[in-house]
Amino acid sequence: MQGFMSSGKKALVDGDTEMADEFTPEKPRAKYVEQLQQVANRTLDTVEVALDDVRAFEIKHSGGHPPFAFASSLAFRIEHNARSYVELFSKVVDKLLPEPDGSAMQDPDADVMDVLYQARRDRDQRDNEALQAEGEDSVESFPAELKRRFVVRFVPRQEQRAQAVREVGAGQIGHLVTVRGLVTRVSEVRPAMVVAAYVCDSCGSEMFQQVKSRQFLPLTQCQSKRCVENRSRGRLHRQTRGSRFVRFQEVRLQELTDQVPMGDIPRSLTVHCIEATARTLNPGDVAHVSGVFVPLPYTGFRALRAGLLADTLLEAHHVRPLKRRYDELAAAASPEVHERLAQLQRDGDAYSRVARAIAPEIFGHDDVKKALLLLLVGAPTKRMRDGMSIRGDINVCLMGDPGVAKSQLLRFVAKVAPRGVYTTGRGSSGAGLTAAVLRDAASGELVLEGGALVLADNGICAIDEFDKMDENDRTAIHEVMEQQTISISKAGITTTLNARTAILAAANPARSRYNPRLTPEENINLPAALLSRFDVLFLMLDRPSHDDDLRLARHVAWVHTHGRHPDAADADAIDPDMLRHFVAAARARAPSLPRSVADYVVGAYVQLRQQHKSASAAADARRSLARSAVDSGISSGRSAIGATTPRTLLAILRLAQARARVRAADTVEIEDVDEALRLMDAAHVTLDARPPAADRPTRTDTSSAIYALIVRHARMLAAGPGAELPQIGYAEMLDRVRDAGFSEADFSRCIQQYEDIDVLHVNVSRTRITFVSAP
Amino acid sequence: MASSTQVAPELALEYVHSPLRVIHKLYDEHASENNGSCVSNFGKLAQEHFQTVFANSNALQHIPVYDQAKVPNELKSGSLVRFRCMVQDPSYGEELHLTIARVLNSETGETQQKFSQFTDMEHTLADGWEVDYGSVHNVFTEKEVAYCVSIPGQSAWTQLDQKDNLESAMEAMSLTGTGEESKRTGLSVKYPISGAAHSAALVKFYAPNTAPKVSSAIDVIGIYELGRNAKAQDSGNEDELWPCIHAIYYSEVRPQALHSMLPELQINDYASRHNMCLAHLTSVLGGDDLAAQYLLLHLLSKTVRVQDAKVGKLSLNLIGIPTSDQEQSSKAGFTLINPASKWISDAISQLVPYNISIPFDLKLLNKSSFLPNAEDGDLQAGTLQLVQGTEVLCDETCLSNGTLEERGVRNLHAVQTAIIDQQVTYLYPFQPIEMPTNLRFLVLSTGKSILHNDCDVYLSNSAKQFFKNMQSSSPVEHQLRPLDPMHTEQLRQYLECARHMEFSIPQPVSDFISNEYAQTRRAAHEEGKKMMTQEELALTITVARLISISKGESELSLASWNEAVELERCRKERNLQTKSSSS
Repeated sequence: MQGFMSSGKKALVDGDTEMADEFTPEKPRAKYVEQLQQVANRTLDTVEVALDDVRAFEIKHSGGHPPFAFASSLAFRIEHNARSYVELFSKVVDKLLPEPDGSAMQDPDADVMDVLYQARRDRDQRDNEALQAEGEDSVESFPAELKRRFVVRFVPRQEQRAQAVREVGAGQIGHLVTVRGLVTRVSEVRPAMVVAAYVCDSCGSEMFQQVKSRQFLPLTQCQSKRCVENRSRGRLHRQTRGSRFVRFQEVRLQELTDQVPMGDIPRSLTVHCIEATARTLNPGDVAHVSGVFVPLPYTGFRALRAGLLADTLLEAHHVRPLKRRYDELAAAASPEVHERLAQLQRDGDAYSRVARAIAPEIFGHDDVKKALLLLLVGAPTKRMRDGMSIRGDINVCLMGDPGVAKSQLLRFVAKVAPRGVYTTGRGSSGAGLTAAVLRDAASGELVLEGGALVLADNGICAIDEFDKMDENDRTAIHEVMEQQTISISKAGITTTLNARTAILAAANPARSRYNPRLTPEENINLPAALLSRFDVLFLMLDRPSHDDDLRLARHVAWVHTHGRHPDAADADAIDPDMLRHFVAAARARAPSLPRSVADYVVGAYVQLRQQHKSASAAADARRSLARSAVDSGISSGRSAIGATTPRTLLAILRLAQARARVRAADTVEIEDVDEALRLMDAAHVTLDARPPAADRPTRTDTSSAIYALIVRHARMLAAGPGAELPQIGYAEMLDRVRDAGFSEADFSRCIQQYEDIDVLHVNVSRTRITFVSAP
Repeated sequence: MASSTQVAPELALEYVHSPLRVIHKLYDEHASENNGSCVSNFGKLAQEHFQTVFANSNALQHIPVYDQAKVPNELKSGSLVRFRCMVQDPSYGEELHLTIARVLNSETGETQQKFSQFTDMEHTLADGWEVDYGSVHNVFTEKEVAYCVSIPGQSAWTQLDQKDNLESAMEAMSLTGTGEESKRTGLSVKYPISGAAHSAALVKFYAPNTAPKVSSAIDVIGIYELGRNAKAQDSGNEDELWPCIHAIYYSEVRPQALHSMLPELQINDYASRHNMCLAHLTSVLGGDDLAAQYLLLHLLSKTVRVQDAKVGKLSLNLIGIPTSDQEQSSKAGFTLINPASKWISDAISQLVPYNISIPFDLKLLNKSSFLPNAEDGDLQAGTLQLVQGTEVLCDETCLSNGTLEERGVRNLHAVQTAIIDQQVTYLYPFQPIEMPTNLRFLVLSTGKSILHNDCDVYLSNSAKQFFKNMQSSSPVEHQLRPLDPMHTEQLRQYLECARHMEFSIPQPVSDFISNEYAQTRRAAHEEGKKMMTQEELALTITVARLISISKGESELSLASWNEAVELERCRKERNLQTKSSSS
């Protein structure tokens, strides 16, 4: 051991000297010379030695030898015995330290330590001369630590993996390890004594004591030669001014959730930050902390009883705080996660597969889930040159009958989003959502307290029972939804808080159930000003559909039987964690909008505007023609809800951009725009399936709607476009018509009417329907 | 190893009284076989050795049960103990232990190796010898310190039993009432039911990777020792000694295994046990058999996790328990004041291994914390930090008008989350951690509860009268009639066995259910009535599942399904009737 140490030291002295000397002209090496100069000039108090540099240096200097194994290199030895090497490097630096080069020289009188040091040196010199005159050896009386004005710190190799707290164990004592964790507590920065100085009251000589542990037993009796010889037992007095202190901070590092195994709780580790690393961490930071893992023997009474035990801590050498939230997630993603993400994109249709991973326990509602995925991903926020910004967050409103699992969707989204807040409108006041000014009971000062929207800054705010909110409170949200800020001027505080949040709202229709006899506007009891701020509005109606009901019931039964989801059988199921990684990866992209696509969007928008205009103009004229009901298809539906406004244009762009992000593409393509348009329409398709009752209150209208259904079904069965329409099974058609929410009586009345005008023919046994004249 | 298979009682005594000596002997044997370098797997060896010695329950009986109230009068430091406990805080600290120490004689320069494990005590060294901390031959091992408490809400019959000798019983009796005894209990903030007396110990595990998870119920066998609590010392009082148990091995507590005395439950016995249980619960609920049916189903429920969904749980709200006129006194803490609630709680505690009651008193809600909290560094227990399968009885009848403060709202929210999501949040700074749990919630209320439950049952008028009478009569009269011990034991066994039964729905039944669901919805839609929702379907299937296992059937039969539909119909009818008659 001793031999190794000295040889290591020799290698080191040479190595470091060379490192500092020889490579002065080269840029990366010059940095150490520069560092030393700065230390000498007192502008720097840390010598940071990067192990990567040590390694590179070694490889360069291994001469003609083939590249040697890492395990026998100096970098490896430093990594495994960092504490000893700190000492060795410090000694080397002591030797190499150049004279201050005057450029940054300060008034030496300003520094107490310098004055003291000078005085001590003078005195020692005198003493030594006196001693030498008496023919004795001179003694070095003060420890090197006292005059050192720097600390040596190692920067770990780039490739060193950051570990979790629980992975650091007894095997790594004395090693330089890197731990990733969350800073939960930091102490005040306090001075910690490194060298204590004492003055003897009888002989006047100065004594020094190195402090290596947290607690130490102060010296009381003078050990100086004179006192020992005279047996005068001089008492020592501690001198605060003469002692050397370093900045010291104790930090508590806790494991992150993703490092904690399922069902376990996070562990934590104490980190000691000294000098430069102190004050670099704040509570709440996620950081990579590299340091030496050391056992700290119990001190005081504890040591007496538990001599075999030691507490552990990390002596920080290098601290690297990470950015929070999504960035942090992206940084934390392991290679396996990257591989799975890439695989997901390769397999194609990642969009619908990931969308299905949203609230997997809720059945169907694929389009809603797609919209929620886009909401999670969002579009990049545009910042104009004049400082105005256009929001990228997508706001979605789910409106629907009770019991269609809106709340579950909301909860899920709030849970998956890194900064998701779930709140219900019934329980929130405007102040609770935005911010409140409170008077602090203790100090009497006014303090701002953030509400749900402020807390969800850079995240998602899910508001359930949006319709139950007080009208006044809801207006507070208007500002958030477009400007993404909250302005407060209350009790002498005027300020604007950021609330860059996407809003996901759920509301019940007026009178709690969607009433088909009323117009959509009457059913949706939200003001138009608010509605236009939602990019997508979904109507989720609970209507019986034989196929869906069957599937759903089977699904529930299956879950009870097998204790898992049917589709969980394939290993590709995307769990919430994977979903989070997917979203994080998608958010990292900023897809651009090519000219051609932009033109396409504008075209689509203009068309929508015109449709909207003509639709409202023709609303009265449009009556009872079966043909028109078939042909107008989807577009008639969308005009029914809300107006097409310039906000719609932005909504299309946002959705298209989010969709491009999901595809992991860097440009928006026409298909993205089409998907955006489709999603905006999808919300209204459910309405289309049934005739907008307000427009067609009469019986005839029911019939024409059923007829439209029959025609649509027949076209589906037909061999191709333009081909003759085939016969349809009566019972089969009846099922479909029932699914669409009509009664059997309606159906037979419709058949009767169309038979009367010789459009349809039904055979005598009433099993088949035939088209007499082509529709 | 000579003593691996059969152990005479006398030999077991050596293991109980001086386990460390046994361990040292074991190590010496082991070391001579393997030439020294063998610390890494020694813990496993010791575990296996002790496990074979105490393989049968008879031998286990010789090991004293750890009880903090008896410390240190009855337990000697360095003896073997058993402790049935919940791991309240598995990361109470990590310690490095100098397992193999090189000792040096400063005068002669001689060196020796010393072995130490399962203790914190310093080696006793002769004069002139001291531990050479700098030596490379020292071997450090890690130990994980966990703070363990006696299982919250543990029923008397679930506690560990041991052959009591008269002497210790006398000693215990003579010591009660000295006042000092009451002091000897764990830290109040680290026990879920604040203010309740309990035992606590620092349990040190020597294989950190296999240490138990938070809130699990375990039986620890280990060496008892008084040591120091590194964390408690930070707050001063350095001299206080803390009970430590150096775990040699531990096992999870399995509720099914608590009835080893009874013969195994046969499939044909289920029907009779089911009837017996139902009859008992009906008498508990004043003759209301519908409510009793649901209570039975509730007792049989457990949460099965299917990715994000939870199936098989049935939190129950019994509505119609009269409000108590007695004031909840501030000192009452978690004890129930309402005699009716107490009656039900007592009846349940006879049947289930772990149960706790939470009176929803405003003061209690505003003051206590229901979620475990580690924001101050140390994990403090919350009322909902409970072991899997605990029955939680929420008594809403003592809730009165008043202000619910922020903490109260958080607490109620925590209960609601636990009911719906079966999740308890551990409040760690900056990153609350959601921990899956498995708790059954029974909410007693006068009107519909403020909590949303899986299933609401209104009590029948006769049952309401029954509970009303209970309040007017003197406390002595409504003491629960003690059940025949044999019967109680049988009921417990029945509940545990049925609860852990496998369950599946055969394809034809599944198809039938699906068709029925789709048709009912369509029919309801045509008649313009309210349609059955997904939730209602899920509830009916859960009820069918529980009916099925209550009969000992692991496959859903059509009969059980129809029974479930009928039961649900009765319940809804009664709920409607009661609602309309009250309004």
